[in-house]
Amino acid sequence: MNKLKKSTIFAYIVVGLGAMIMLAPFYFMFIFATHSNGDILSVPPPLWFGSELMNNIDYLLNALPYFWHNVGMSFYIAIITTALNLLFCSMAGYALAMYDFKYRNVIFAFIMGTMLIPPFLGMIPTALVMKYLGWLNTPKALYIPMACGAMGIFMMKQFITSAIPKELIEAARMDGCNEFSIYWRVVVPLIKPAFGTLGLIVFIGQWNNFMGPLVVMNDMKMFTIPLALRSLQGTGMTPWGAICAGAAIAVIPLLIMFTLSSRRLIDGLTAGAVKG
Amino acid sequence: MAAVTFSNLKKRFGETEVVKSFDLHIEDGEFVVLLGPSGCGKSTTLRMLAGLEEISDGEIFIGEELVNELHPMERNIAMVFQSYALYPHMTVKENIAFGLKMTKVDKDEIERRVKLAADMLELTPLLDRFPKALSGGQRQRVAMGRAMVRTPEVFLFDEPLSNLDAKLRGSMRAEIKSLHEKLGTTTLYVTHDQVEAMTLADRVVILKDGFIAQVGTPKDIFEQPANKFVATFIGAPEMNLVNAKLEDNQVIIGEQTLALPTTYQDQADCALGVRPSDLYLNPRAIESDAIGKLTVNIDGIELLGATYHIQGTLNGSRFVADIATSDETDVTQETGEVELFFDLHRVHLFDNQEGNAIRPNLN
Repeated sequence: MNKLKKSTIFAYIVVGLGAMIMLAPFYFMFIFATHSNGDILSVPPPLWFGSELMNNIDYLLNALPYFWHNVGMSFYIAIITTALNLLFCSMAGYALAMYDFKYRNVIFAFIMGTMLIPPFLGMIPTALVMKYLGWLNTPKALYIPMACGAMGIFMMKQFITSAIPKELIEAARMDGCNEFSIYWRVVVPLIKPAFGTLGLIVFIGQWNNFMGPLVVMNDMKMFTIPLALRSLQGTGMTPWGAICAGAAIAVIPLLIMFTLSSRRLIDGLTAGAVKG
Repeated sequence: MAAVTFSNLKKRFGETEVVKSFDLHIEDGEFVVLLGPSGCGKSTTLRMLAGLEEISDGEIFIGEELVNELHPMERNIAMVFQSYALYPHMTVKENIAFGLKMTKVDKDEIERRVKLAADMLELTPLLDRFPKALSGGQRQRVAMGRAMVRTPEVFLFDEPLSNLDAKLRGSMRAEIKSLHEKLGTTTLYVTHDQVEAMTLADRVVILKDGFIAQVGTPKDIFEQPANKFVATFIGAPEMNLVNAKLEDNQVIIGEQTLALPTTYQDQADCALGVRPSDLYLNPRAIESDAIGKLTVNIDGIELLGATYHIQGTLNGSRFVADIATSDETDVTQETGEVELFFDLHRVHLFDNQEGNAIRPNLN
């Protein structure tokens, strides 16, 4: 009993330290958002909230006249990318899970193989293709290449395989559904938990995406938030307080979303891992 | 309602042929059961009729119409699946109405048909529940309701009772039977449970390795099995088969001889079949003009309530008898030789080469 208690206490200490290390950047981001550059760069740095938040926000809005437009761009691109991913990944996952067709396993292996390619390798070709298509500085240059991904297809395929029996699809077929209505009326309602999980992952990924916009967006008005904040780090003094204020504003929607749906995210990621 | 005809139907999965030349005509309104062990091709045949499995060769007609190329929905059939396949995100009512909604039936008509089916299957108080809140039997009834409301020409059942416990299976069997009597729809039912087959079917089709081993009424199948496979597959405990010789109308088993009341052609290598339930210890219990007797070496007796289950050997083969406890002879002897009596009109003879039944000469 005593031994168990000691090990539990040790586990709490390890987890607590880990949590502190993980949360420290977030904490300092909020703290620095309320301090001037001088305070931030002093030693030791401030550990508690200051009174410079409004000044930092003023500076941010002056330096980035399209800041709210950039926030809107981030939302727009993240939402469209998420919606497209949910649609295409679930369709692909459904096809790979439920249909028997020639080269199915080869196609699936090929899709999985794309996960081995570092995303940076595709950056320049993607930028060139976007330029060729005349899509530079347009949102579709970001959401079309990201509309479907191997991770999403894999997740959907696994979820559909474990959650939907083939007989259900056959029953729907006998009830008069065509292939699309089977997907829409039977499959989609049953994979909502996977939609929640994949939706969150894609939304967060796209909201935080820095490299993608960097290569296809050069008009400040079309920047997404990470890119807009990065543009403050130009020559001369970097306004850390303003950057942190911008980052804090940018992170708030994610924090709200994650708080509301973290349980679903974790449930979805572990679904099918153990026998229910 | 419609008749169903299978003509030279075949199904191959790669090199493996699982249904081999299946020919069958099901009359309009008939209840036919496909019975056989796992892997005999019964579910595959049903699924080909449903349109869920492609046909490798042959033809299927529903009524006069060739349905080989038709979508499942266009075949006007309804199917009850082994796992019920209810839509978990829909209520009982939505589950039952789904097929009608998909075929764009008028809203009032959907309401009317759902109500009718729910009343018939006693589902009315459950209409707003989701499948997860139903018991196995209730789910089964919803699956039947879903099939019923579409007023199909043919009902298909794919082992619908195999997920239920023994008691519920009995009551659901009766419900399926009475439903068929009420609706009179042509029904094809797949099972590996011979009790279901014997109690439900107008005709039973016994399949073995993709072939039809026998088609007949339950009584025919039980009393006149066409071959050794059917003889041993139907009936529990299975029929005793003992190697024998047929000579001058006598069955010779080792040193024992039985004089048959009907005439047969001589056969050097055959098998005598006797059902365990046809055996008696007391010859007076048999009402027949021809009573046979076999001496069997027994090695165990079990009391199963209404019967004694006697196990032994005869001419090197396992021999089992189910003797009614009402038989006046006391069963006290647990080992050694015992004389068992039976009606010679009820014995079966099989050719040992092909396994087919040997029928008596008619003239």
